[in-house]
Formats: sequence, structure tokens, C-alpha cells
Amino acid sequence: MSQKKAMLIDLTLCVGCNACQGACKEENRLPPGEEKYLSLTAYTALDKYNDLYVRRMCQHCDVPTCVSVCPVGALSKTEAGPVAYDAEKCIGCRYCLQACPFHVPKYEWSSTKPRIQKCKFCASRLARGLQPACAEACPTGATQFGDREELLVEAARRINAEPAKFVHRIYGKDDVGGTSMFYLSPVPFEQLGFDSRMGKTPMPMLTMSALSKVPNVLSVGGVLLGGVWWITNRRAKVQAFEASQKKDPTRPPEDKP
Amino acid sequence: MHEFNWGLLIVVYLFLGGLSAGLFFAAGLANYLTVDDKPVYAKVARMGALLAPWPVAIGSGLLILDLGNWYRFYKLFLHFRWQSPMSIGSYLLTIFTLIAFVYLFAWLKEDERKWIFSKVPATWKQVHRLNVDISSWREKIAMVGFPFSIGVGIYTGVLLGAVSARPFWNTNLVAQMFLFSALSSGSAALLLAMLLDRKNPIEKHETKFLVTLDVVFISLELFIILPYIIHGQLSSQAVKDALTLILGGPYTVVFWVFFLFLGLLVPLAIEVYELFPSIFKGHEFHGSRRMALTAAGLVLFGGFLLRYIFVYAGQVSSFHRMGLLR
Repeated sequence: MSQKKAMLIDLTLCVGCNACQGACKEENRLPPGEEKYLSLTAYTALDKYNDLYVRRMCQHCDVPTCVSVCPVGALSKTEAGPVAYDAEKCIGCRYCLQACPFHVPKYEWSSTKPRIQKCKFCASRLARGLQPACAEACPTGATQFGDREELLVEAARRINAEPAKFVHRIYGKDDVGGTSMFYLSPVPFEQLGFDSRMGKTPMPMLTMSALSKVPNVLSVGGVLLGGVWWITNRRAKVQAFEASQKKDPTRPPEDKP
Repeated sequence: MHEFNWGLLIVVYLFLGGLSAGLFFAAGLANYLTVDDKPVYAKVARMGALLAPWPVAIGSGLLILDLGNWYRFYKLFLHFRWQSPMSIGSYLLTIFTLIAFVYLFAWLKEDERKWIFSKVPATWKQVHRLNVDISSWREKIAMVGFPFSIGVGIYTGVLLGAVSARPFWNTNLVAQMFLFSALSSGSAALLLAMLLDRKNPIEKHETKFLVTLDVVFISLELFIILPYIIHGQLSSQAVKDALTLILGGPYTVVFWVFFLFLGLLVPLAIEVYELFPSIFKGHEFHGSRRMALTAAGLVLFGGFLLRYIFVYAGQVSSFHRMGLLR
């Protein structure tokens, strides 16, 4: 049905072997070596919480705020799901770094021609009909690639099959308006560094709600300042009138007959 | 490593952009105020017009320098993306700067204009065609420029306020706070410039005008800052958490002592103290030079700190720890 691709990350299946990061580094020709946090050389990383491993990477949001804030259109949401980045268009303003609620984009600070680096959702592999390198490398099926709709059904099926094992929530189904990375967890997501305060509204919508207040502010401010101006102006006029009255003492006051 | 994506250059730019907006606004306003159809604040209007374009021009330069690929900045003007505050802002900023320069030109004296054009080769006839007296357009240019100056003042706040991922910024009040702060620093800068101009000493009614303007703007700013804190406290947990940055967190002292007290309340107190007898008791306005100098300086200091606090504290506040370095 839907052409949109996604990945399902089942934390109960992850054993922390880090094969996903290794495959990612190989695919993107990054220097090998285990890294614990997202960086310019690690587009995915494993975060450990007690005995659980949580994969971190670009969530490839359905309505991405990095895309909406980019003033030159260097970032774009492609139909198949990946949020793509065009380094040739990028001016290096780093607004996307500010806007991303997951702190995913990383900036090449030490480069003279800096770019943004982040997970590409292996867009070139997807185009060739392959699955992303990390999903292919995962030995336990903790990272599973597929159509977004099908994976949602699969995730719901897993929760229903073993309701005691999972928290009854698919993270990414509608968080920040829905993402391409779904997480299933045995413990509440808040304990794993996910933030429940972000809400379900796509962030660009929230931006628009802030932007749409600007006309109100302008009109209220305009009226206010107009009032201030009117009062000041009137005071000056009154003063001028009184001064002109004083200058001419011979003229009788108007209220006397 | 790089916890702060935007640094001091952005702070300085936000301050300078706001300063220009405020200068233009105050100068334009001064141009409109007349008694018996005679402009009473012509000197204020001229000084403001001469100063207004420079801060924003320098600020825009800094902004371009801050870009990683600064030589691609022209791409900003090949796109218009209404969803991106930065895209809207880059157009606003450019148009405003141009208007401010035209306004400056309209305020040049005959000999100043001739002096500038004497530096251009006489064979450049097209350039010399621009050597016309447009002083009669002053009011019209000011009228066109007002919305853009307010737009620039608001935009510097919207740039931050529209970022939903930063709870410290993401409120509608930031834009208004930055606008009023910009307008008040503009009138303070104008006051400072006129006080320092020894050749044409400032007159009392001019000091009074600028001080009054500043009192109005500082009061408005104050009425935004208090709701910002109260509103934030009543808002979602994320905003409440973000506000702890200035309520006990690392930015507490700089916010309350240096910005709110020294940069806002003290100059407000000085200016009200100066104005009070002349407004309510009918005494003559004394216009102490030292008092005015102190107040204007403190307002500018506070305006800069407001940007500093927001840019830095805002970047510390966030939702997710997913991609953060720890």
C-alpha cells in the first residue's frame, strides 16, 4: 500500500553486539571503531540503560522540523521516507542543529567547507531495492526494515502476543507527528532517555503556531504605539496652544461674554 | 565539544539588528513629532537616521561570517521558504537595511551629499544621476520603514522563539520581549550618541523625549518578562524545567542581577526619577547629563545581556538526550 519505508527496533531482541554501527560505518566509509554517542563518524550508536541497549540515529520524522527551518532547502523529506541532505545547497547556518528535537545532525566544525552529517537511512541502498546496512547486519532481528504500515501492524502484533513483556506503546508511531523509526520497549520509554514531553504534534506545526502570532503582535503593538504617539502629539499640541494663548494676553478669554 | 551551535557572533548580531530597528524607529518617530508644523526633534531624527543602517549592516556581515559556507549566502535569496523564520528574516533584514540607507541619504545635507559624489569619477554618469535631493521624501520613507524596523525587531526573537525543540525559546513572548528590548536600546543608543556629540550639545527637550520613549519601552519589556516567567511556570513540564536555568540554574545571576536589575530596573528608576518632577509636579526638566549617560549605557548593556542569556541558555534547554554528547 504505502511506499513509505520504516524500521522497527525491538529493544527486547537487541543483545548489544554493535553490528549495526559496524555495518553503518562500512557502508558510509567511516573510520572503524566502537563509538558510544552520535558523532561525525557515527551515524548510529548504542546507548546502554542497565541491561537494555537503545539504538540512536536520525528518526527520519514524517514532518521534519530540520527540513522546515532550513532557509535554502538543503534538507528534504523524500517520498520513500529518508530525510535527505544536499551538501551542495547547505550554507552552514546550523539552524537544523537547533531545531532537531533529537540532536541528531552533527556539524563539521573543523572543516573549511563544513557539512552536516547524520544517518541517511541508506537512501542509495533503498533505491537499489536493498535494505539499510544496519538492518541487514542485525543478527537477532532487533532492527527490522519494511513498509511503514506493515511494521506498525507487526509491532502491534508483538505487543498483543506478549502484553506482559512490552510497554503498550510504539514509540515513533505518532510522536512528533510520526517518525520512520519505531521502538518497542519492555520498560517505560522515559527511563531510556526518550522524552515524553515532546507531544504528538509535528514540530513545524508548533513553529507555525508561533509564527502565526506575529501578525497579532504587530497589530497590537501598532495600536499601542499609535496610542503613545497620539498622546505625545496631542500633549505637544495642547502645549503649543497654551503657549499661543499666553503670548496674547490682550485677547479676552473665550468663555467670557 | 560543541554544546553551543550558535555563539557570540549570533548574540552580537541579534543585538545589532535590534539596535538598528530601534534607532530607525526612534528617529522616524522624532521626524513625525511637530509643534506648529515645525519639527521639534529634527536633530534627534537626523542623528538617528545617520546611525540606523550601520549596526544592522555590520550585524548582517557577522551573520554571513558565521555561516560555515559563507560564500553560499546568496542562496538565501534564491529561495523563499515561508516555513523557515531564517528565510523570512534574511529578506526582512535586507529590505530594512536598504530602506535605512535610503533614509540616511534623505537626511544628508547638501554639502555632505556633494562631498560623497565628488569621490565618484565624473564619467560615471549613471551614478551621478542619484545625486538628487530627496529630503522631501523623509516622512514617506520613514512610513515605509516602520513596519520593516518592527519586523526586524520581532524577527530576531522569532528566530529563536519558533524553534520548538528548545523549550526555553519556544514561546510567543520571546519575540515581543526582543522587540521592546530592541526599541528601548535604540532610543538609549540615540540618547547616548546625542549626549556624546559635543559639537551640537543636546537640548533638554530632546533628552526628555528620548528618556520618555525609553521609559515606555522598558516598561513594556518588563511587562513581557514577568508573564514569560509566570507563563513558563504554568506551562508544560519541559518549559518549567528549562526555566530553572534562570531560576537557580547557571544563568540565574546574570539574568536577575545583571540583566533585570542593572540593565532594566536601575535605568528605569533613573529615568523615572528624572522625568517625575517635570511630568507630575510641573517643574522644569533638568536633564542631568550624568544620569542620562548612565541610564543609556545600562540599557544597552542590558539589551546585550538579554540576547546573550537567551542564545546560550536556550541551547542548553532541550527535550531529548538522544544525540547529545554527555
